[in-house]
Amino acid sequence: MTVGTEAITSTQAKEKVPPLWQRISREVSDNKFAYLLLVPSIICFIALVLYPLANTIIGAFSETDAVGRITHFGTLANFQELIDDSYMPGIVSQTVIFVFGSVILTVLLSFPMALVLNQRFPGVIAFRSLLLLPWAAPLAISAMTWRWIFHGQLGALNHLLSMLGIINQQIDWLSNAKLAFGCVVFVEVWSSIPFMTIMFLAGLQSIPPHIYDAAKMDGANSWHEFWDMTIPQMKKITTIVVLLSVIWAFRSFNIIWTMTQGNPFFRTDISVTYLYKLAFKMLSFGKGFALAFATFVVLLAFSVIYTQVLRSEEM
Amino acid sequence: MADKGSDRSLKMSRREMLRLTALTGLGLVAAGCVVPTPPPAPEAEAPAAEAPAGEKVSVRLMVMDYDENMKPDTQAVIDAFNASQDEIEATLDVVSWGQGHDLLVTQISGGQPPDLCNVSAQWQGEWEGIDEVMPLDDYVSEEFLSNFVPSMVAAFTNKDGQLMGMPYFLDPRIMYYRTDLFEEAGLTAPTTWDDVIAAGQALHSPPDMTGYGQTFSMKSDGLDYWWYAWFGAVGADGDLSVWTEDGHSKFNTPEAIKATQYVVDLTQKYQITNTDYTTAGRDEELQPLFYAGKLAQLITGSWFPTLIANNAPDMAYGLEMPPVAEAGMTPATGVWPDSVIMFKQTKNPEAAGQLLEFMFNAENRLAFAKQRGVIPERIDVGTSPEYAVSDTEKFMVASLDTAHNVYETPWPATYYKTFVEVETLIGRAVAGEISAEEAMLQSAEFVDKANGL
Repeated sequence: MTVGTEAITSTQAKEKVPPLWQRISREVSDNKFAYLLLVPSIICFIALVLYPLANTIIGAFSETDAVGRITHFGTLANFQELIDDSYMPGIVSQTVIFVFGSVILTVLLSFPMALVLNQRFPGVIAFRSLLLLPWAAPLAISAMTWRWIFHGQLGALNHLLSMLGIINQQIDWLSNAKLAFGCVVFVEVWSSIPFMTIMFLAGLQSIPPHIYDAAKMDGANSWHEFWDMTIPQMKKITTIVVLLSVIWAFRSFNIIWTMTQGNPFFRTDISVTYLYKLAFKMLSFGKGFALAFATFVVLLAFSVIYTQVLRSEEM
Repeated sequence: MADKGSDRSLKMSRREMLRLTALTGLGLVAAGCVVPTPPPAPEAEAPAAEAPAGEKVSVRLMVMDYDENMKPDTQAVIDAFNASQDEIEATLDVVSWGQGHDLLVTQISGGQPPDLCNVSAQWQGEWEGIDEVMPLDDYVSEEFLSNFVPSMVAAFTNKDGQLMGMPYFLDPRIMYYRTDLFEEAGLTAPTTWDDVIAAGQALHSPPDMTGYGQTFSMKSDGLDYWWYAWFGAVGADGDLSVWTEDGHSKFNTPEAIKATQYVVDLTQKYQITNTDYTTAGRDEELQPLFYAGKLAQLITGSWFPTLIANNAPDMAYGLEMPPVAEAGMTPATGVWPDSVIMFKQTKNPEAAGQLLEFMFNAENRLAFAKQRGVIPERIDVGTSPEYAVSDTEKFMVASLDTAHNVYETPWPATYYKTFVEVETLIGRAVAGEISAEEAMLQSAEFVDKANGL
């Protein structure tokens, strides 16, 4: 039977394939020089990424002193302290709202922008270049600029709103918890739009034009073209960009730290700013390690999804 | 022998390559949530290093910058020290205050702290708590110490009688107010809380003028704007320590609640303060607001006249001690002193001691006080006609009579953690989220619990 024969052939083929480590070893011996060139990068990767990561994981399960040195390994006390921390429920919900809120808003704004920039009109090149400005500026400088724009007494925003007659008394954008949170989400969105728009634009430009021609011949109108052809074609790039943006938003330290330092009263903190505070402001390094570990696990989940999507794209 | 080119099964498939790439990517993602981690604590102190014959002993001094001239000014001291002898080679690192703490934590835990460093006394306590600070008694003489303000030397002496740091300078906190505006409005100088409120009510007119500046954003010295109210509530005749004899905090006492109620009322009841009190930094926002001419009253440090002279040389302002709760009380102030400490990991304590004495000689300290506009910790410098020439400088020196070291604590190891929580609770009270009494009762409970009481 055909199926049986295929099954046997497949099993035999599998038996012949050497184990992964043997193939890696063969791969390395076949390309010694190429791998030699990679050695400095690998050393840096181990020293700057893997070693600190291992230390963080070990630290999460250890007692630590005021400069973060491990004094006793083998405890879950840091996680218990984290659970007992009265600020943690707020930090978790703020992290979720910040990450998903900013990514959803960025998608909603970037996609139409990419659609517009995908059209041909005078000055489109200039618009595309201008779009990159927020991305080109260092985040800390952008955040500092926005901090002053939002300043209650001296900020440009209040001045503008006042001149337009929209407000008659100053608004302290960064001192009110809800407004401050909105402001940091806004700046996160503002700084993320360029990358996402460019990615969407690249995706739009990779759609073969002939499918639109064919659709037109079948009598499709613009809405049908967009809904039935553009959207499905953009599905994979959207998934990848969204996953990447979620991972980046989770790690968004610079904007929040520069604008509010998590103030007022930890209400604009997300997990990465709070773990920094735990470690370096409150000197609870163990607790900071535990939160870093928890954040790492969440990011790992998103990263695994990301690589799965990437793999399905490759296959 | 298999043909390398044709045997694809021996090559890594795209899937495997992708898997390895993904693993690498995951590592990079992981790097984003890593707290800088140090190696395990050293089990034994490093022995003193002996320089080979003919070679100089190295000593590294790290200083946090107070202003843009800190590097050249301190380098001049280091150069003079190196020129004064030929056995020790001193080197200098200058870092910003913003980076200093994290950098030192990393260096201490990595076994590479400087030999000497100027630090916030708060940091000193923190590292003393983990036995990283070298007692100085063996490296500075009694005669040398007799030149310093005794209360400040005492402030850096631990309960075992060991001197753990040298007071670097003193920074008494003073009320600065706009004399031109006060005169125009017929107001009296703000010496009591009622004076502050009356002046605030008369002058507060945002966004052009704010009556009184305060902040609870954890961006300046720990809890400073509450401390000023505490000084006023207790007065110089009372006990300014926030600790009882048995180590409990005094945050739940009537005086502490009264101090908190005062800072709450300034914002909530009288509405005479800046409204960004939950986020404003003293140095970043309040001080610039004052010399921009938009703030009528501000309590800040003894460095402020230098900043005013640089940024608003024509501004008319007066000085008063932090206001007291009621007329007739004796005003008090406090210092958040910085100190110079020697790390226990130093390999050359004797050489570091020599550099320490050189740095603290009268000539260098006079130059430092003039350069930074700070109050000298040496008695002879503070009383020198070369130093105290202006009324402002004389006022600052005189204020030291009632100055309390706010870092004085029986709990150096938990100071940071507990004061962050107390400032948060007081800030919430000022924002109207909880009452002053609730804030202070919760503060006392939190602090005592954190200290195991």
